[in-house]
Amino acid sequence: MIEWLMVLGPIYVLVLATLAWRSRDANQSEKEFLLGNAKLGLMVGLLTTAASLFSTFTLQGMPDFFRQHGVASWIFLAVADGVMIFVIVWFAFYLRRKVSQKGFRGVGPLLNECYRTPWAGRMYFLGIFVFLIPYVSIQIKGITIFLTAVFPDFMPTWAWGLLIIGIMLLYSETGGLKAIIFADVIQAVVLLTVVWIIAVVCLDKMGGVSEMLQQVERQNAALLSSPGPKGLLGPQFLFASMLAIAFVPITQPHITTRLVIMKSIKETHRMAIGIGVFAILVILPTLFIGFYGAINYADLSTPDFLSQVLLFDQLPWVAALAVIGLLAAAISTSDSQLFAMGTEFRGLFAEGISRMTMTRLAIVFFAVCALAFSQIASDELALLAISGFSGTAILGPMILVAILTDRPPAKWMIIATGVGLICFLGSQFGLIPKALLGMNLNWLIVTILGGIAFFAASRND
Amino acid sequence: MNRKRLWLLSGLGVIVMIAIIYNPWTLSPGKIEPKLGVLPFHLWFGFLSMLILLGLTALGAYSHPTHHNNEEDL
Repeated sequence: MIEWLMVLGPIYVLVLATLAWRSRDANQSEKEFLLGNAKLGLMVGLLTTAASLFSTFTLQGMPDFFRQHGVASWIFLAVADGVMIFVIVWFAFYLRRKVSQKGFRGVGPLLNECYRTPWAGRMYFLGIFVFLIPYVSIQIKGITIFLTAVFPDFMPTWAWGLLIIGIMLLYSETGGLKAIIFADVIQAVVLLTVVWIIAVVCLDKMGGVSEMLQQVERQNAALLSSPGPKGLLGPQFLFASMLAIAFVPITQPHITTRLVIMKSIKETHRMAIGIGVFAILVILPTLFIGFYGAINYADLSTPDFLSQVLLFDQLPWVAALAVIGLLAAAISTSDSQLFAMGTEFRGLFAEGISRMTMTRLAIVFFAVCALAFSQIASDELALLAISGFSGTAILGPMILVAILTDRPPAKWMIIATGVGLICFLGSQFGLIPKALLGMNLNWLIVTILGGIAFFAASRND
Repeated sequence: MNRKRLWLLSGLGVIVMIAIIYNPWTLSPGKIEPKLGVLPFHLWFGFLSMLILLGLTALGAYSHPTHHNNEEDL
């Protein structure tokens, strides 16, 4: 495997470097650097959005989720993605209409224009910083777990994290959003290819789908239904997770930006359908991989299970490809989110001739924060991801009321959102219960803010 | 049926699907029967739900009032 990695790794890095350099030559302006050419066609738009959405959380988190929680994991992610793609179709129209009226320098600045106060953008930025940094960190953590298993005692995990962050920053700072988008296209293809190769190998070893399900039933029948052996995936958790995922196109800047820079609304709609197909194609194989783990490695820790099934049980060239695939998945999501945060920072806080420099420094700062957090984050990748999505979902009502209404919404919507974020953070640190009145707290907060948003829209400033 | 009505129907369809999927009766603990072939209930129901949602999104996208409009550049 190491030999294959020595060949495939440099090829992959060379491709990224070439894309970054070519994008740098084509960059004419700050807008080009931060928004690409703002006319993404269907295939590029689909693959870059898919790569940004489906991260190490998919290739590592989901197999482990299926292994531990069973079939309801499909409802947890794939069905929730089915709702999300409809939200894309619905939301994209209003977003693009608002952007055509007010221009686009980032979601935060757009909110400032809508609310006519800089506090809207600041609240938005606070939310995405607090909840997206952990999400980026789990990408890094996911891949460093792997690389440590592949090269034991070669480098400490923090050094691997530093290397990955370095690669990411090098090509994104060189080529801007265009380089990220081109890299995403390659990474989406690599991710899809790798996950299916591994899944087919696992399925073959299990003797097919029917035999797989029979073995799972003998091993642990609770995996074949909700809520799963650990009782996690019940109706409330699944519903709250669905809400969090459905809000992703609205609240996560790297996805929202891609909706803005698609060539046309028609291409955006087609892209949404494509994302749905991609979701099925990329999540289904993780079910096979997860159940393979449930049959053979039920008692292993998450890192040991993933190392075993993605590396040691595969042919050397497949294992090497898995490492590349994971690297691609981690980088494609992380670079998009870090870059988006840098763009938001530039639009909100960086004024004057040193704006680009400050943006670049901000991206580096966010990357360092993510690296630091990755050293202390847990191994529960899927659950950490959902915490991140749930946190940013709280920003949803504030954003929606700004995008959907023509006149400035009431400014107390911003304060209400801040209170909601504080409450949710409190629940994550155990200061507030995670359920109140029998309802999941995140769901409760979003519902209350939704009601407040209704009044904020009708009581315009 | 005109496109606007189709668009509204597709949205309504998604809301109905959410209500059908995410309720304690559909997601009864330990519900494996009825199976579809070898697939336990929550698995085949999940597959079917995703396909239906994809279909509703495709319907909604095609029938959206702006789907065939030209837009100004950003």
